[in-house]
Order: sequence, then structure tokens, then C-alpha cells
Amino acid sequence: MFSRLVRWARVKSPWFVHFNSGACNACDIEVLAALTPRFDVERFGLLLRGSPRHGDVLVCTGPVTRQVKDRLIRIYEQMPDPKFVVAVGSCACSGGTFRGCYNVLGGVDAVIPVTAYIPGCPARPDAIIDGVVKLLGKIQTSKAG
Amino acid sequence: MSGPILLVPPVAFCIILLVVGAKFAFLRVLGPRANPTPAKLKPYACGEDMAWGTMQPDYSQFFPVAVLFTVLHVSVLVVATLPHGPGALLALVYLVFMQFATVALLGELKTV
Amino acid sequence: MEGNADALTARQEGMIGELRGAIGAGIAEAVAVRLHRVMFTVAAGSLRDAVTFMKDHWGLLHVSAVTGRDAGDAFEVLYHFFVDGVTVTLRVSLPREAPEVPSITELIPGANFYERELYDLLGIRAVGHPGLKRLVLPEDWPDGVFPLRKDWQPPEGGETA
Repeated sequence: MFSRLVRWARVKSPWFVHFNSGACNACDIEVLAALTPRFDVERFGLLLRGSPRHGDVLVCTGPVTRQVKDRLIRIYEQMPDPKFVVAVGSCACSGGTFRGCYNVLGGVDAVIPVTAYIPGCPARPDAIIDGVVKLLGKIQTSKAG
Repeated sequence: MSGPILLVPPVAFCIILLVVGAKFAFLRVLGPRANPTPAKLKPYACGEDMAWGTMQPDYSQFFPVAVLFTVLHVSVLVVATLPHGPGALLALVYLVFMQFATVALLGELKTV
Repeated sequence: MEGNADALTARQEGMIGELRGAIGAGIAEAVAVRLHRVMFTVAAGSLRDAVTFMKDHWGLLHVSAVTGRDAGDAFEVLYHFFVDGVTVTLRVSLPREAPEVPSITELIPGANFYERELYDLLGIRAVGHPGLKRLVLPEDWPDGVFPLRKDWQPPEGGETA
């Protein structure tokens, strides 16, 4: 009955949690730059939260190393439903240059289900905004409930 | 229904209870399907799997400070409302006991 | 500038002469590769003496880096120091079957983590290290498997999971 209202609320205020799963930090810096007034991804209602309990979206950078795998799964499980995952950077998409290394499991989707992929090394803030818009489009068409 | 009867505490309480209950029910309908997992039910959000004892804050200083506050402020209240006559003596005896409590609590406090 | 280059060359030659004189047979090779760069090939047994000499006479305080290398038939450990404007490298060659090198952590505390990483990734043991344990690899990595050795193969399937 209220699904349109609920979907509108979710699309207009996706609060996100940022997690670095073994990245070199370049994609993290670009995510941070996307939040600044120059690129201003916050105009879509995005808000960076410190706790996974407050997050709808998990923005994940970096290839998943063996050491971080358990922590990433825990953070993902602590987020409330409905939750979405965005993989930022080519390392998060597929492992990037580190695919096949002795300590790397591959992209984020080797560990948790991913909703949107943003390639790039590092992904430009413009690409991050594009990926966020595509994610919001996916939330718009998803089932509310 | 006349106005003043709605402000009587029992009635106001019941009305507010109904309003809040209606809000909760509405938000339950709006919210997502309940999907409780063990990770979601834990009180502390962290990537590490920590035992409960290590993530509890240190309350060993909280209660000495709180009780010291209470003792000193009650002593101030007693001093401020000292009666005339023999009652004053009882009050002074009470105050002496309170000072023992103060000294004991000050001993519980850590400086580091 | 030319005057400076000459002074530096002279200083480097002096360094080579001094360390050779102090350590003697332990130094197999000493080369001033170019300006600001001197490389010594030191036997494992003379490593601590060389570092002690550098501390006493050249005012050495810190180690810049410690590099481990799997050279196929032997292991090599290179200790890089920066003294008097010159990067001095001590190269120690170790047999493949018994890769043990004396620890310099007591002389230079900054080498602590470098030697732990050497042990973790290459299996080169620093004898005399106060607390040689895993540094880089995850807790559930199997013991005795050293991924940076040339004869280590990742598990089947290409993904280490």
C-alpha cells in the first residue's frame, strides 16, 4: 500500500558506509573527493555514516585480502535490510592488478553480493556519481518490502 | 468530552499510548520485512569478533562519582534547611556521618 | 658541484677502505657503484661486526630498508643504510637449505619488523631476534609456506581461497 512512499524514501536518502578491503587508498581518496562540493554526490541524499547499523549502502574499495574477508562479512551482516553494495575501482570489481596474488581472494563479489560496479583505477568521482545514479535507479525498480 | 478531563494524567497517558502505538504500527507497515540475523542482534557494531567483556566501557569510576555527587548535594540541602532547636543536633550528627561517606568515596576515585 | 663530487668520491673510497680494513676477509667485494651509492658483499658471520663498525665510526643510527631476495640457488639479504650522504648496502648471501642470518635488531632496533617480514614471506630466520613471528600474512596462513619464494606455487584454480 505504501510501497511508492517507501521506495521514494529509500531512493532519496541512501546513507552509506565506506569500507576499504585492502585497497591502495586511491579509490578511497576518490570517494572522498566525490563527497566534496566540487563533485557533490551528496546532492543525491547520500550521507557518509560511521556505523554499519546506520547504513543502507556499503561502498567497498579494494581487492578482498584473506585478512579482511571475515571483517568485511561481519560489517555486511551488521547492516540492516534492505542493503546494497557498490564496488568502487577495478580491484573491487575483479581483483584488478592483484588478481591471483597469494593473499587476494578477488573482487568484492567473491565474498558478498554486489549491486553496482564502478570500474577505474582509480575510479574518477564522475564515474562514482554515475555508478551511484545507476544504483539509485536499481533501488527505484526494486521491490519495497 | 470537556477539555480538562483530557489533561488528567491517567487519561492523557492512555491517549498518548494510543497515538504512539498507532505510529509504531504505521512504521512497521512501512518498514522492510523483519530478517533477524545473529550479527544484526549484537549490540556493538565492529568488524572484529570481540568478547563482551573487552568491549564494555569502564564503569568502575562512574558509581563512586555519582554517589559522591549525591552525598555532597544532600549534605548541602541538609545544611541549607537546618532547623532551630534540638533538631539541629540530629542534622549535625547526620552531616558527620555523610563526611565519613565522602572520605570513603574519595578513596575509590583514581587519578589516572 | 665538481668539488662536491670529488669530495664525495673520496669519502666513498675512504668508507670502502675503512670497512675493508675493519672486517678484512668477511668482505668479499666492495664497489662504489656511482655517486651516493656503495655496495659491500659481506659474509653472514661478519654482518654484525660490520654494522657495529658503522655505528661506532660512521655514526649510523637507522636502517633504511632490508630487502630479501630469492636468487634461485641462494637467498640474498640486502641491508640498506644511509650514512654521510651515501647509501651503503650490505649484501649477505645465504645457502638455500639453511637460510639463517644473524639478527641486527639488538644493534639497530629499527630492523625488528624488517626481519619479521623476511621470515614471514621468505622463511629467512634472523638468529637472535627478540620475538620472530608473523607480521604480514593473515593468522590462518599455514606455517612453513613462504609465498615469496620462487618455488611456491599458488593453489590450484588460480584463486587463493
